[in-house]
Amino acid sequence: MPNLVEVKITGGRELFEALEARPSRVAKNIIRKCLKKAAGIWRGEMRQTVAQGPHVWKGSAKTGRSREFAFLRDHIGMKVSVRGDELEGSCAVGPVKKGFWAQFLEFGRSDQAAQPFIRPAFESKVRDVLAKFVETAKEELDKEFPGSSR
Amino acid sequence: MSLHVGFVQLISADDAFQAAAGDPNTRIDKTNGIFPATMPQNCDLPALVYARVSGREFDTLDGRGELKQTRVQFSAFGEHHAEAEAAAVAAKNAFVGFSGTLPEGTEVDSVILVLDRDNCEQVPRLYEVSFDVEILYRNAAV
Repeated sequence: MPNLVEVKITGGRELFEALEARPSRVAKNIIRKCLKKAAGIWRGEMRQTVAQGPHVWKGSAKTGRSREFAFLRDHIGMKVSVRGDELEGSCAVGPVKKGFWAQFLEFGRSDQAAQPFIRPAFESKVRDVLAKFVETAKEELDKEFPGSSR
Repeated sequence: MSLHVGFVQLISADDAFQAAAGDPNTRIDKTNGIFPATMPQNCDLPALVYARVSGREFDTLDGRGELKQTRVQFSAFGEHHAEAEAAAVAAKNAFVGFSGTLPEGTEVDSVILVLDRDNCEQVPRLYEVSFDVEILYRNAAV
């Protein structure tokens, strides 16, 4: 069937079972590390592809204006959260609030063409992120409980 | 010919889109109201702007495959929210879910809506209704 594009991810249930058998604190730490390492790929890609240039900060009358080069590149944030009651976590990756103009780059304006960097990073690296998540989970499980990830 | 030529022809020929945004005969700027990347200065509103966000090709065992995937952002701008919304909805209804051959010959397998958002610009005060679609397609044979 040439029209069919299929992505199959296996091993999720096995990973869940392996984590569920561990003490909750250890399992959460493993999830946190996996999310951080995996989503770090997206952050790296965003840093590489975001449009860079000098940003002029207004400042006060005393300090005057100041310039900062590639502010957005250096302010791509990442926030990992793991839910307390379940083996479930999330990781938000993107420009920090202070770099609010990232939205104009990402989506454009009526007088400015979009220079997207978040959505392309997400789409181009989604497979690498999934692979990194699995790889890190195996490593961490092996570290905590040798031989358990086989 | 390329994909964007095809979807611009498809959307601009749609009755609902023409009712919302006008056509070259009714618009002062004599365009169909659809522009690539950014709107020209002082153009009539509402207007629809499209831009490619990302894209990829699928390799086969024989090498480069014909199937391609691209993500396109459409943004409808208007002086009022209802105006922008009407143009965006008309474009969405004309294109999302489309499957078949576009007027210029590109074969489209699927068009899926993947993002929908509203925005407002303060200066000049403009409303924006934008949406992203993911398109699976094969270029027209040359």
